[in-house]
Amino acid sequence: MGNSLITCGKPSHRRERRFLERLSNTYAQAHRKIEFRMMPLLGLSLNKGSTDSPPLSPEIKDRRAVRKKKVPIDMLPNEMWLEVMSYLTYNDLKQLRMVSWHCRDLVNRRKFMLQGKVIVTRHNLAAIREHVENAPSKLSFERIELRNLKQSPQLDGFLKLVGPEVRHLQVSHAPVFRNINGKMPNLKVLTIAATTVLDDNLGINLKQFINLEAFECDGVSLDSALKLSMLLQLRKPTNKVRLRHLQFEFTHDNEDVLVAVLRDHAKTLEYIDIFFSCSPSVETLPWCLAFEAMSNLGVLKLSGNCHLLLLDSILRAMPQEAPLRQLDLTGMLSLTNELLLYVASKWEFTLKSLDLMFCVQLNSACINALRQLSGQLKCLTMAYCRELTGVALLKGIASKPNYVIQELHLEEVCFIDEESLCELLVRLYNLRRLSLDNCRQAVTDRTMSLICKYQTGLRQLNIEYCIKITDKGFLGCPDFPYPISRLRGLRELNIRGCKNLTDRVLKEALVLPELRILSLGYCSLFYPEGFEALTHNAPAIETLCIASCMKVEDDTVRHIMRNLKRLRSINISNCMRLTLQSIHHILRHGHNMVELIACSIDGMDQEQAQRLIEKQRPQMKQVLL
Amino acid sequence: MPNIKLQSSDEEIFDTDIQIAKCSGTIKTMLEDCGMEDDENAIVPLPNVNSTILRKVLTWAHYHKDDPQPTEDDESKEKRTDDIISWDADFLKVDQGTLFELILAANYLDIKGLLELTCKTVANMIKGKTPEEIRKTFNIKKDFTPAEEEQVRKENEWCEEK
Repeated sequence: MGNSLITCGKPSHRRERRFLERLSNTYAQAHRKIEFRMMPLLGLSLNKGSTDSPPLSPEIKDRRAVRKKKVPIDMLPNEMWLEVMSYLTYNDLKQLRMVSWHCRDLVNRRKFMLQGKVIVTRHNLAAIREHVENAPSKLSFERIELRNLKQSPQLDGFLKLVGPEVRHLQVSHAPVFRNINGKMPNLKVLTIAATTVLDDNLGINLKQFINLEAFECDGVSLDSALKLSMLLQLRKPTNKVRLRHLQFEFTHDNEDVLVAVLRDHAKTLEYIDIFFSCSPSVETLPWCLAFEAMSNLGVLKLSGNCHLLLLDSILRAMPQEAPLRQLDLTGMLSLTNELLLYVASKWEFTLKSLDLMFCVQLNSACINALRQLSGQLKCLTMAYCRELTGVALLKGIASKPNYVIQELHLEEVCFIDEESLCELLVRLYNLRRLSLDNCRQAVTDRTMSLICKYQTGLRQLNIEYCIKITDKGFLGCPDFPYPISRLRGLRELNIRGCKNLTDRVLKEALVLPELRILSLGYCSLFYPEGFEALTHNAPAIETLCIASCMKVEDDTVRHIMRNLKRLRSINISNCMRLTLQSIHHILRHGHNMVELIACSIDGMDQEQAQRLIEKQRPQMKQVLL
Repeated sequence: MPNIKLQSSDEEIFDTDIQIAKCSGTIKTMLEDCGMEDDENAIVPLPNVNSTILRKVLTWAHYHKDDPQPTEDDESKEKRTDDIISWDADFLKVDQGTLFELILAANYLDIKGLLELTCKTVANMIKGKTPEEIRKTFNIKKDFTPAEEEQVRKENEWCEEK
């Protein structure tokens, strides 16, 4: 090869040789770095001197003979597969994992496995334990969830094995703290969800987790005395941890301790989520003292029943230099336009996400606040802000073209007018998620056409109960020839209750290869043929809701289960024509199923259905009421 | 615009506009480091790319010569595969061997846009598919025993997206 170059008769041999060496070196280094599996089709092999490297002679030109053989997956080095895999979702990776050993090894890499967590339940505990005991497991136990478990020697033994690996632990309906005790020295994040009882008087010893950074405990978990004792264990100086993340429920009896914990960890806290299940006292000074030291806070969520006095004090006490990027004030009925404007001015350069759901006092006067943030804000939720008008929204976030905003959630903002919404859709250039549930006046066939025309980057679209929409909005028409199939990257679509849609939508419009989540509930004009067509048009659906689609038959369920091979969850509630046969179809064909919701089906024997499922697929979550 | 000569592994010479050749980070670095830019007779050897593939690469580079340089870093960039323009989609209507060779060439030549495009195309061949469909697509042999397959299936069942 070197020779051929030098004999090309070029002026500076030395320079070219250097060049060539560098090229070869780059390649050789790449070899070492990325462990090529097989490179017969390319000119250079790893060891240039070895005999099995393809000769650089004319016969190499005759590649067709080589190419005619089917191309093995090994042709690409792992590095390139990893690049390809970076475009896949976790569920795609799980499928790929089942293809072959090579694919399994590719997916087993930490960066992919960390996208998931292991969920331990009473059904799989024994099997997972056996799996871990028998061979070095490729599963990552850095994140685990203990779900629906009781204390047991089995669990105790299992946690002894994997405990040191655990960094993130969620316990859901699992009062098993005695089994956890002393086994997870490296725990960083502890989440307690829906675990209401402890089955002994041991309590929880949080101090053992010396690396704890995050603690979450939801509103329904444990009684208030236990919660209080946990909070006390987080106090300094008895506990040396430096909390960065706290989610907790405020109640009357924990106010002092909660505020004290916030103050203790004020310097390190980056994330605070407090749900006020009752109104706090009017004494705001302690709160202010805690929040004024929070110079690292990036995410603040205050939801529930908090009066304006405290909300105002907290937001004013927080230092301006706090890098606040996400503010969630869901349910703050007390939030005023003025306070929002104050927030917008204070953090106009950092705020990226603002959730104002149910902040019902906000009205057109909040335009100024929105305008202040509009070049910065990526995500805006104003669901249920019913005083908000379309004109105000347009002036607030799209007085000029907006390239920044990616998510807009306007559920139940029912007085938005069609004209403003249409104008808005033209001026937002990078929307990824759009929710317009029940914006009945604004979402028409014309609006829908504009969505299909301009919002081709959408990943999620929710238009529940937008009853003005007809097939035309989805299929396009001569005046607006923009069908929904233009939204090629759409992953989630919710058209529940759009009751005027007919089978044509399923047969001709929903040609959406990336669609994973689809809700069609309460669309009563969809027939079995339509559903069958859907399974071909959007074959990768993983979550499907066809609740109250009255024409669905057992055979429809069979088609769905057979054709939607990636289906993981289905809701067939209130589909009156279904019988036990549907359960048989689901169990027989639904190899990926993890959830079944089948409530209020008179023709189906619920008890028998339950028995069948528990026998054949105990892991599957089932809701049969 | 001056030209540069690129030589494929099967020794075909491609007389190429230097700006187009420089969409390849590898060639760009080499030219600049070796000071070959002004040398009309210089020949850049590309021993890992054959003429068929190099021709395709240059066709692609020519079409995309006015594209803005990608600036966003990998982490913050949205990973989507539905945004392939129709010219590119047509360009990649090739057999799998060619597609894979294009990936290798794009990697070797360090052409970010082409590497992204080709990897996205392969990703689209996997997305939404079942293991059996993936095997069929890439002609992969199932080398699991039934027991091993069952084990992997179970492991998958134990895991959920976080």
